[in-house]
Amino acid sequence: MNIIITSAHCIHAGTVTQSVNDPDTPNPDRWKKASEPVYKERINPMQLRRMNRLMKMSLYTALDAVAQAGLTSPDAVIVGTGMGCLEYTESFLSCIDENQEQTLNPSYFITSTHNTPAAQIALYMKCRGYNSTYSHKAFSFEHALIDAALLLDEGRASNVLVSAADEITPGYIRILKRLGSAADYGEGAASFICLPGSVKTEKRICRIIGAGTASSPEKARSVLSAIFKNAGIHPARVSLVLSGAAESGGERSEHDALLHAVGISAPAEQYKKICGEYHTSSAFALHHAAGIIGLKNSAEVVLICNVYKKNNYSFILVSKY
Amino acid sequence: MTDVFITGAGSISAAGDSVDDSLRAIRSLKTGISPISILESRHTGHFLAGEIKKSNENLAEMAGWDFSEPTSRTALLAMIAAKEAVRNIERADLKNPRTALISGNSVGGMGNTEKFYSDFRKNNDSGHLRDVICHECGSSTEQTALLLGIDGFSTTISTACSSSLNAILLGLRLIRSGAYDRVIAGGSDGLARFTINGFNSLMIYSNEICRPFSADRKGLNLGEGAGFVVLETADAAGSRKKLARVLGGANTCDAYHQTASSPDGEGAYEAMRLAMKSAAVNSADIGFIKAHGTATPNNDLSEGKAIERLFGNEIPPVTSTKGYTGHTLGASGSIEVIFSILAAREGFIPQNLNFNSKMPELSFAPHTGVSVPATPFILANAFGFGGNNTSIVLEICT
Amino acid sequence: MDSKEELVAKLKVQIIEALKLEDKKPEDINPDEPLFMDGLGLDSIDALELIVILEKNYGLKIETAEEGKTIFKTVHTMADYIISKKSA
Repeated sequence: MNIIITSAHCIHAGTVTQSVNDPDTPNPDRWKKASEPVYKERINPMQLRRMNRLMKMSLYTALDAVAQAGLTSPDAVIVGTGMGCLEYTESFLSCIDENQEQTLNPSYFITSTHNTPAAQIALYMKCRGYNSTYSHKAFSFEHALIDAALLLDEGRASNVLVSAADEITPGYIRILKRLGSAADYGEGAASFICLPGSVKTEKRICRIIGAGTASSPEKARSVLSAIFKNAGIHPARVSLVLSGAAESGGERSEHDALLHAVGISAPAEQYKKICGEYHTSSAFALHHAAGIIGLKNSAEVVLICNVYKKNNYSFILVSKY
Repeated sequence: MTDVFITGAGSISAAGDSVDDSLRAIRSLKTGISPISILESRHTGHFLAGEIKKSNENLAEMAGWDFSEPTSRTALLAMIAAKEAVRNIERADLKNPRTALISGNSVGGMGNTEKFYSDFRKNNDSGHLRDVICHECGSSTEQTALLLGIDGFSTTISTACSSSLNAILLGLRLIRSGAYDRVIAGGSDGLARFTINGFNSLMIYSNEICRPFSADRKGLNLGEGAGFVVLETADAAGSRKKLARVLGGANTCDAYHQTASSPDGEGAYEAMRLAMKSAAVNSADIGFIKAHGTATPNNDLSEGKAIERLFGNEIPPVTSTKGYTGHTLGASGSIEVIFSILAAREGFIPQNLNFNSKMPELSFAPHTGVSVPATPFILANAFGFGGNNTSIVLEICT
Repeated sequence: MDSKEELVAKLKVQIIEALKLEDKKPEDINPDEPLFMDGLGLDSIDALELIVILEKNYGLKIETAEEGKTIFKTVHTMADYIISKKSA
């Protein structure tokens, strides 16, 4: 894999974890709600009215990334989302129940499919090219990137907008807490304009030189080793790991053992402390990595290593351009 | 360019529990659409749907899934079809990292989530958590991979009604890239109150049986099911019979409206044109078109116009198989490709059911009657919400 | 029963709320201005939402989207339709 990221934009939580409900409630549900921009500044109000927060976040970041890249419209749009449009899904479910399956509002339904953000972006920018959506839990963004790399390799597109987004709702947080999750949940969206790695351009933020996913620590080891082999660099060259492993429950220790076994000795920064836990948080991590790499005298090779429910590993290997 | 063959197929829908059953139904023009009876809804007994008359427990038994483990109807259907598709493949080959699984669905675990939500919204400490654990689209793929012993790359595409055809297209591309030798590709979707009521709120759910490409069509009937194919290189296939070759495909976006297709069918036209270009076939080569043909006023007009633009005066037979199964949403692409291959291999084109009269806006009527495909090439379409248009070109192997 | 003026005023509020026209106030909507295409610029999904308004708030069921086309031309035509059905 060899992709140049030429522009990027990200919406994520501020550093404050807020209470979902009354903070005086014993043990209130907590969430890292996204710090949202003034959408009207970029998005036409007549279209904005029909968008849920997921759509607004993803479209906003997409518009910014596309503009920064000097494009009016990308050649292709690929989105990753683990949970899709939760808010409107809940709204339509409530509608069905309240009205006993009669006289229902169609607006919630039509914007509840997982590919709504991808469709919305294409509609807004009149992008008629390849359009796909991956919804494979915590691998959704990585798989969108893998498809983008394939598309660029095939020559089907000269640039690809890759976005990822997930939103949270109080209802969703409640369910997660009932399921016993102790994580601080977050939400956000990020968009990247990707070009083939061979392109010579001044507008370049970083380079993605590998990505992969695995559903067990054993497979993770072979996937990660293959990533370094295909990238032609030694794991010892990684100067920073952006880690999505939870501190508790053995996740962190297994993650550290894996990295050590592959030959990585770089320090790890817990990126979810900033953005919170959500399926496409690795997109935030990529944006964060790009920022770090852009600084003078900073890390030259960053490995993003996310862990989901202990066994599921995903990797993105990022280097200076 | 690497030749990619379909060497296995599995399907379950209202037309039949297996590919053999389905072939029998298509051959005997037998519809699987009937009043809803299993799903608990206000519309039970009234709305017509391609409903599989089996409870989730029955489906679990068919799939070989321990029903005490949470799952979803969408996942169970996927497991049944995928299991049938891979029946001639050794477990060790399925486990091989050069084998991948790509599944498409749009509904995910909504069939259970909606039950949970009814209780949850009144009191958010109520509702059975078991009903929401498998809500995510990716859950169905994970469980299918687990059941089949597929250990390598697996992913889930969710692009509404084009999901499973996009899965097949991705499978083709992944094999051609050299990354994999074998991809199990397809999709599933279970019936749910969410989608039945959703399409009804758009006023495109017909109160009669669906009539694709008929002037008096009133809308769709939903359906449910799953379809999976095994895509392989010739080497990986070994002695497995090659049913068809996937020659090429394309995906485009209409970028016209959130749900409606453009009146001139621009997105559909481009998808079909690019698919044929990538397959290096001309319009004259196409034996028949397996249309998306949902029987909504909008789709059939838009798709019909696109076909006319592309094929001019030489339009091959156009057929929709949704009269047998209803619109199976995410599963429609793969199920209908399988039907097309089954029929074509037996020397016939599936008939477009329930047709009454030619649409005045189009120069052609859909295929009814008995005919042999003039060529081995099939153009198959699936178009989803959000203007997601996918077409692939197949060649039947002799 | 409301006078036509009162009905028009009510409809404007209901339209703004149901279609989430957050930037608009009732006085911004000219009751003779086309609701679709030019004018307010509503689309086919909005038409379906207007059907929901008629059913939920006035008990009037529109069977097809086609039927809605004449009824939903302007706020005045909507009001006329409601009045004609209510006095029938």
